[in-house]
Amino acid sequence: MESILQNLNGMAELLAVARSEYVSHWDPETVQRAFQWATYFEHLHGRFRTNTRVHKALADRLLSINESLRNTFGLYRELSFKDVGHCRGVLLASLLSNPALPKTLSDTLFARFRPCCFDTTGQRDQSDLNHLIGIARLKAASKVLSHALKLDGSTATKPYLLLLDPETETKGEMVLKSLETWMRCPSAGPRDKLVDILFAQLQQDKINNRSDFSKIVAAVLLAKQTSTESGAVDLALKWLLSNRCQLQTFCLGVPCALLSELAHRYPSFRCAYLELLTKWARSMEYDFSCGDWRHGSSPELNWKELVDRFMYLLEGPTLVKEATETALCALKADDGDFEVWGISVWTDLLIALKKM
Amino acid sequence: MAQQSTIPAFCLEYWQNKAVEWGQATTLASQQDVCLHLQQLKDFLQQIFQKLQHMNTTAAIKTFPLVGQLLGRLCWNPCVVADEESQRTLLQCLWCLYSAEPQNAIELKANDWIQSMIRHLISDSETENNSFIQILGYTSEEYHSNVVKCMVSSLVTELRESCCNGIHMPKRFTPDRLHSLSVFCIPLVTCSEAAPLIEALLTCCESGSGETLSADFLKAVGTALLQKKIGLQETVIIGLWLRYLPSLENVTLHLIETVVSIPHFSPQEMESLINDSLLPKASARHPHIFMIVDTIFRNILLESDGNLLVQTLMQMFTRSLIQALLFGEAQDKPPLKAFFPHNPQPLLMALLKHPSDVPSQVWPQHLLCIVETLKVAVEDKDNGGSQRGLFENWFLLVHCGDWVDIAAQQLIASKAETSEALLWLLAFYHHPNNENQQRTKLLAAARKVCDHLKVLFSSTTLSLSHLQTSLDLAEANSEESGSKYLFNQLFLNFLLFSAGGQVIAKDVVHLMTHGNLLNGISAMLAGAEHRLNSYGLMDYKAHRTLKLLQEHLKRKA
Repeated sequence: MESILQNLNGMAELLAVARSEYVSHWDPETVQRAFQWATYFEHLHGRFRTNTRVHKALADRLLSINESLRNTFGLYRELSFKDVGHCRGVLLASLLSNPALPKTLSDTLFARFRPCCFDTTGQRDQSDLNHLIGIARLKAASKVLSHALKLDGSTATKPYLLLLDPETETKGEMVLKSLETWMRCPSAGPRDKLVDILFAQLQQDKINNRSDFSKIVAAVLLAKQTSTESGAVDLALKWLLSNRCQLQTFCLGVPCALLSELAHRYPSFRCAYLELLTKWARSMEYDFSCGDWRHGSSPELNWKELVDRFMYLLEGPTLVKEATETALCALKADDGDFEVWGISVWTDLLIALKKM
Repeated sequence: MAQQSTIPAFCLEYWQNKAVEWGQATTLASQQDVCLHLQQLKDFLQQIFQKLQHMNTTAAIKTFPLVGQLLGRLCWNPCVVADEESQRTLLQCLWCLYSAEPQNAIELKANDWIQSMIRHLISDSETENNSFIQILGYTSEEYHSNVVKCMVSSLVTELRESCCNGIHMPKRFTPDRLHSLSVFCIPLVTCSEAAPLIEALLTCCESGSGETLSADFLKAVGTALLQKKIGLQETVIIGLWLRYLPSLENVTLHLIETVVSIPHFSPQEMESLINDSLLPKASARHPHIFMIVDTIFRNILLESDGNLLVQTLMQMFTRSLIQALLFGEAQDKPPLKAFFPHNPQPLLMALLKHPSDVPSQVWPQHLLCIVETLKVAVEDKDNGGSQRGLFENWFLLVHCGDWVDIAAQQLIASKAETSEALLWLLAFYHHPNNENQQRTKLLAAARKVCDHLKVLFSSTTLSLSHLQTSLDLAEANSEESGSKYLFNQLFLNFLLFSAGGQVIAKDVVHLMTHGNLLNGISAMLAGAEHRLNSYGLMDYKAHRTLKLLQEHLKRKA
C-alpha cells in the first residue's frame, strides 16, 4: 500500500511537469514511460474503484500531494481520484495543450494517436480520443447554451433569479470551493492569509476591467456553500469589508440589484454599504447653476447613480427596506428636517425617491 | 426547413457554402440552421471520412481541395463541435489528413495546421478564462463542465416556473422561444450534463395547441435513447412516444430486429429485452400505444409468413403486458377490452390467462373452454364481417400461443372427446382459413397420426418401424410449413412423454429433420424445456430425453 502511495506521488508530479514549462526537457523515451505509468494508474483505479478504504486513503494522500505541489509549481492543477481513472487521457490532453512541448514530441504524439489507424493498442487509443472529445464537447456545449440563454433579450423582468450570468456564477462557486479545499489542508497557514493570497492573485490576473473581479467576489458571497462550517464565505466577506477603497471599487463595479441582495444576506455588508452611500452623499455639493447635486472630485459618482442605489435598497426585502428608510429619515432629521429642494442632500434624495 | 429533401447526397461544395454562411454561428438564425442540418452534416462527414481513410494527405488535397477549409470552419462552429458524433467524425477526418512522415511542404503545413486546430478545440489558451482556471488549479474541462451545469440548472428553473404558472403570471417561455430552445438542444442530446434540460423540455409543454417542440429535436432524442446515449425517466420517455409517433415505431422495430437477428435467445433473455424496452409498461398505461405496437407486430408477422421468432416475441410481449396490467401502479387501469376491442370478452378472459397462472390439473378443462369460446367466436356470422372476426380471433390466439403448445403437449395423453377439441385448436392455429378445406384435410391427417400415437403411448418397447406409417402420413400432408410444424409438435411431444419414446428419439428426429428443419426443432425443444421448467412438471424421463435430443442436435449442427 505504501508503495502505491509513493507511486501516486510520482504520478502527480509527472502530470504537474507535463503541464509546466519543464516539459521542454522531455524526450521520446520519457513520453513513452509517462504513458506506461498512466496505464498502470488507470489499471489501479479500475481495481480499487469500489474499495472505499483504499479509495479514501488515495484521496487523502492526493489532498496533501496537491498542497505541496501547489507550493512548488506556480500554476498547478489539482489531481482528483476520478482523474486517476482517465490518467492517459489527462496526460495526453495536458501534453497536447502545453505550448512548451517540443515540436518533435508533439509530432510523435499526433502521429501515434491517429484514431483511424488501428495498431495493436487500437482499442486503447479510442478511449484517449474520447477524453479529448469530451473536453472539446463541454467547451462547445457551454457556448451553445450561452446562446440559448440569450434567447430572451430583456433581463429587466427577472427579479432575484439569475442575478449573475452563469459564467460568473460558476467562477464564484469554483473560487469558494477552492478556498474550502485549501482551508481543509492540515498545513494551511492562517486562514485570513489564504483569502488574501487568492484574491490578490485573481485581482492581479485581471487584464480586463476590474468589474469582472468584483462580480466574481459577489458571486462568491452569493454562492451555495458545500459545507457551512468552513466559514469560507465569512472570510471572503471580511476581506471585502476590511479595505474601504476595495469596498468602493466593489460597489461601483457590481449591479445594484446584486448589492441589494447582498445587503439582505449579510448585515455587516448592509451597514458598510449604507455607510459608504452616506459618505458618498455627504460629499456631494449642490450646484446652483444647473440645479443638480454633483460630486466634487469624481464625476462618475453622480446623482442618478446614487438615487438608483437607494431605490434598489428600498425595493428590496423588508429588513433592508426598513433599515434604509430609518437611516435616511434619521439623516434628514439630523440635517434639519428641511422639505425644500437644494439644501439637504437627504431631503432631496427622499423627494426623488418618492417620485419614483 | 424547406430545403431538406433537395440536398444531394455528396456535395462538398454545398457544405462548403453552408459552412461559410454559418461562420462561427454567432447569430440566432445561423445557430438554428446548423442544429437543423446536423443529422445530414453527420452523414456527409461520415462519407468524407470513408473516402479520406484510404488516401494520403497529398492525394486527399488534390481530390478535395477545399476539404481543409471546410473542416477548419466546422471546428470553429460550437453547434457542430458540441455534438459528440459529429465532433468525433470531424476529428477523425482531420487526423486522416495528418501525415506521420510528411513528404512535402504541403503535408508539413497541413500537420501544423491540424495541430493548431486540435489545440484550439481542447484548450482555452485564447480566452481570458485560462488564467483564472490556472490560478485556482482546475482544468478547462472542469470549468466548462461546471458552467454547463450552471446554465442547465438556470434554464431548468426557468422552464419549471414557466410551466407551473399557468394562468396567474405571463409565461416567460413563449411557444416560439420553447421551439428555438429545443432546436438548440439538438446537438446537446447526448451530453449527460444537459439531461435535466432535455427532461424539463419534454415535460414542460403538455398543453394542447399543437407541438411546440421541434420535430428534429424529438427525433434526435428518440435516436439517442435507442443508442442508449442518454438516460431519461420512464414517464418522460413514454411522454415522448405519445407526442412523437416515429420514436415509438423505431423502438418497436428495433426490438423486433434485435430478436430476429439473434435467434438463440433464451426465454429469460428475451423477456428482459422486452421489459427493458419499456414498451409493455407504456402499453399498459396507454392502450393506443399498444395498438400501434401491435399493428407493427402484425404487419411483420404477415410479411414474414409467420416467422417463429416473431410469434414468440408476440407471446412474451402479451405476457409482459398482462403482468404490467396486473401489477402496475396506475390508479385507473384500462379494461382488457381497450386493448383487444375486436375480440369477445369471454375469449379474452379464457386466453389471456397464462398457463402458469392455471394449475396444471385444470389445464384440460381450460383448454376445452378456450376451444368452445373460440369456436363460437369464429363461427359467429353476425360478428361484423366474419372474415375480419376470424382474423382478429386467430390473431389473439397467436398472442396467446402458449396455450397451443400446451394443447399439443396434452394431446397424446388426452381422452377421446378432449382430443378432438385439441386437434381442432391445433389445426385452426395453423390454418385459420378453411376456404379450400385445408384445415379439414389437416385435421383428418392429424387425427389419424394422433390415434396411431395414442396406441403406442404406453408401450415400453418401441422401434422405428412402429412409427413409420405415421411419419409417412405426416410427410405426405406437409406441403406447408404450418402443417409440418404441427406434425413435428405431435412427434416431439410423443417422444418426450411416452413410455418408450426415449430409445427411438434420435432416429425419429433424424427422419424428421432430413427436410432441413434443424432450427425449428431446436427452438421447439427449447420451448419444451422452458415449459417443463416453468410449469413445475417433474418429469425426469422427459427431461432426460430432452437433454439427449438437444445434445444430439448440437453435435449434428
